[in-house]
Amino acid sequence: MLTIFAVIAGGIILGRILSNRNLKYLPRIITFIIWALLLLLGIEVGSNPEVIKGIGTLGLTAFLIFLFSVAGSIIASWLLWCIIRRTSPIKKSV
Amino acid sequence: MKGSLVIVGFFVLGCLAGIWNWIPYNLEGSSLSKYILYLLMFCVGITLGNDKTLIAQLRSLNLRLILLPVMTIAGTLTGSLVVSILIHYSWSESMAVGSGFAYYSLSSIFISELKGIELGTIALLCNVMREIFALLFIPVIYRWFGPLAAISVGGATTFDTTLPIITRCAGKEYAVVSIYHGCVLDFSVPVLVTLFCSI
Repeated sequence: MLTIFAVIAGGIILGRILSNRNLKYLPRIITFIIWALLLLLGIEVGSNPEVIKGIGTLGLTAFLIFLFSVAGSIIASWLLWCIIRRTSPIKKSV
Repeated sequence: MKGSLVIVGFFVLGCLAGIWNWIPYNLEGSSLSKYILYLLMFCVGITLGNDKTLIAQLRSLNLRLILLPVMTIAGTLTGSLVVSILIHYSWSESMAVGSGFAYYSLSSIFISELKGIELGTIALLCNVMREIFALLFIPVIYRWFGPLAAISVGGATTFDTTLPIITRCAGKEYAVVSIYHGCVLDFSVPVLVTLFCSI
């Protein structure tokens, strides 16, 4: 956890130093890194026989828990958004 | 949307590579993905630091947004409590799985050790689904339910993997809320998972 903070802080400092440079290629690099991470996650899931074998029954249970917990968090955060927007209008960012 | 599908494509490709053993060495327990994650965080940090208007945007941020992680936790736990009626697991087990908040690696390891590999696998699948859903649908959720729901869906990942997507659709002024939200949830995962496993 602390390492991650240090890494982000290091990035921010470097970004500050390079603030006069145009870093157009960076979003592309970020996209490539996300691809690599998801590829690795897939490899980890695929090479675990326990997970692949039970993917049917366990998957359904997992899907139901996923569905309800995500729905719950969307509703809760949407309520907060409605309250904040009503009491103090935030500039609309499209 | 096309970008997210490519992301899922890479995940599927990885799964196939894992199933058919295309990779000659075992990645399990390797820290390769951790270092790639650090690299991602570093790049995200650079984009944040490089933006001169960010601090001004931060100042204009609504202080009530501090409540966002609380809403995410409350909503997620309520959802996983309700769904326990439909599944063959107890409410506390269901809530332990939900408490992963898309942080599949940590929550599945914890739950496997405390409750066995079966629930651990469910935790892995459930939280992988949440992360993939977040990667794919954050732009849609943003359009339908606003920026807070877009962050909330990502759970603990709004600190790393989903941060670039949130920043892209909700704007850089939400990067700070997103990081803060992800941090709080990151810390709450081990606490809540062990709590619900011990009930």
